[in-house]
Amino acid sequence: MKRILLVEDNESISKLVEYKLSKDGYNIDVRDNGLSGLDAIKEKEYDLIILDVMMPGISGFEILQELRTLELRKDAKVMMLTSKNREEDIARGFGLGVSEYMGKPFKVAELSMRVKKILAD
Amino acid sequence: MKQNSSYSILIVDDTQQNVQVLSQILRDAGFKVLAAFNGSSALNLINKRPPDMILLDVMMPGMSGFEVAESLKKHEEYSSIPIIFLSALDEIEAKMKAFESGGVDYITKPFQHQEVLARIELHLRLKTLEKERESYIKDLKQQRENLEKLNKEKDDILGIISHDMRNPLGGIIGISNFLITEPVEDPAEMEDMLKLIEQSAEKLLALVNDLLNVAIIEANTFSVNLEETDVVNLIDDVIQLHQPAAKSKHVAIITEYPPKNVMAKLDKSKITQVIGNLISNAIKFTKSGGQVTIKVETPNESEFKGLRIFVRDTGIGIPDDLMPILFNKMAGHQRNGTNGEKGTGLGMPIVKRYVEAHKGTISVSSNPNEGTLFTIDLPQ
Repeated sequence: MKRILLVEDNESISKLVEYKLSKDGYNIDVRDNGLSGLDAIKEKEYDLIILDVMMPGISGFEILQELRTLELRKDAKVMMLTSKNREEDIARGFGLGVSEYMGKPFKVAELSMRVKKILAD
Repeated sequence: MKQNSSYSILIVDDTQQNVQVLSQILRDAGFKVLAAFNGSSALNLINKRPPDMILLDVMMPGMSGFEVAESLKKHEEYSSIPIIFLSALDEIEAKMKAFESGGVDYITKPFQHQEVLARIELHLRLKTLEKERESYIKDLKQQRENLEKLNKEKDDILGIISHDMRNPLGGIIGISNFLITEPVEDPAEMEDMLKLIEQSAEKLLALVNDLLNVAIIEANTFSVNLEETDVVNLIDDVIQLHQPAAKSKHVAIITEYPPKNVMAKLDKSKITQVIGNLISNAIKFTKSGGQVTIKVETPNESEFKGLRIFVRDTGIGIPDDLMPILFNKMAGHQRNGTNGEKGTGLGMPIVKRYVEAHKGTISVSSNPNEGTLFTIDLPQ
């Protein structure tokens, strides 16, 4: 079973994504802030990490930057899920090697398909 | 225009008779007069008591008037004292040198005393205008800095607000869309989803309400409607509203009231919001098993004649860096509670403004992991 980590401080969104991705057959862990998200990343290896950007404590971009410096995790697949949709934000994400950048609000069916595609590669 | 008597003028001339004559003219016109017979004693005197203007002879033994002027231009604090040269030298070279060395004017001897006075008054007026101009510029710069700061604050808060509004909206849209496109068979799951929509909508409503309150406060269009209020009753009503949140988090709410009824002239809805914000914050930042205490006092012998309300919790406390900006409007310091409870970051600024609108004061003290105490003083 593929493992996914979702770091998202909005409970409605995390519940929804958790519900859908579990139904899709993934094993999903949820963290509601940047710090505990980073801890989870250091602890376990995930097949995909889904990051919100604006969260209390450290942001999704900061997690991503830190992640890329970790020897064992630097090649992890990452998907951004954020309302920071300006071109420069998206460019920043792809500069840091994300596999997918999804803006909010989003359709959960689309998210599910994109996740499937990333994990099939 | 200031009176002549508020200006002091220094005469520097090596001829005693010239000093006497000039001094007489200036004193008759009401000026305060200082005098020196040579350049170096003039510089000493200026050091001790900087005058508002200097009448400077050119040809003197030792330092010439030009040298005195040049020396003064090197000191920032003296360089702005206007210097009028007085000299028997009538050549254009001498006059040009006088202006180059920093003089504002040049009068040839023998002089008419009305002319000397007219020129002195002119340059004093110019000096005053210059000072005013500098102070206007300083004020304008200050104002511009303040406006830039406010504008940045506004931009920041717009960013925060758009994020805070999008978040619950994202939840509402995401879940509704999901429910429309995918069948959810389990009724319990369906209920969970609907509850999430409800919570998101309520969060959004709370944010919009807070924003409206802040906008009304900012526009200064709010007023307090004071009416005789039973304070204990009011607080009990507020506590009731927050009891479910406290219970679900296992935080106890304790009250300490005086034996007698406490009546005060208050704006009920505003004080309800003040107490409500403080209690909901106290619950938010207190872990399970902790307690929130609301105490009402009517100190009759203290320096303060009125009503004192304490809201104390045994929670995680307020971080040091947050303390100075806690009551700042729009500081964007929204902080999650110990169970991840959300807020708008606007609650405390609203509390402060409402308390102040009652001519009251609010103060806070906090220790990390020991708790926080808010004290509100209200006139009765």
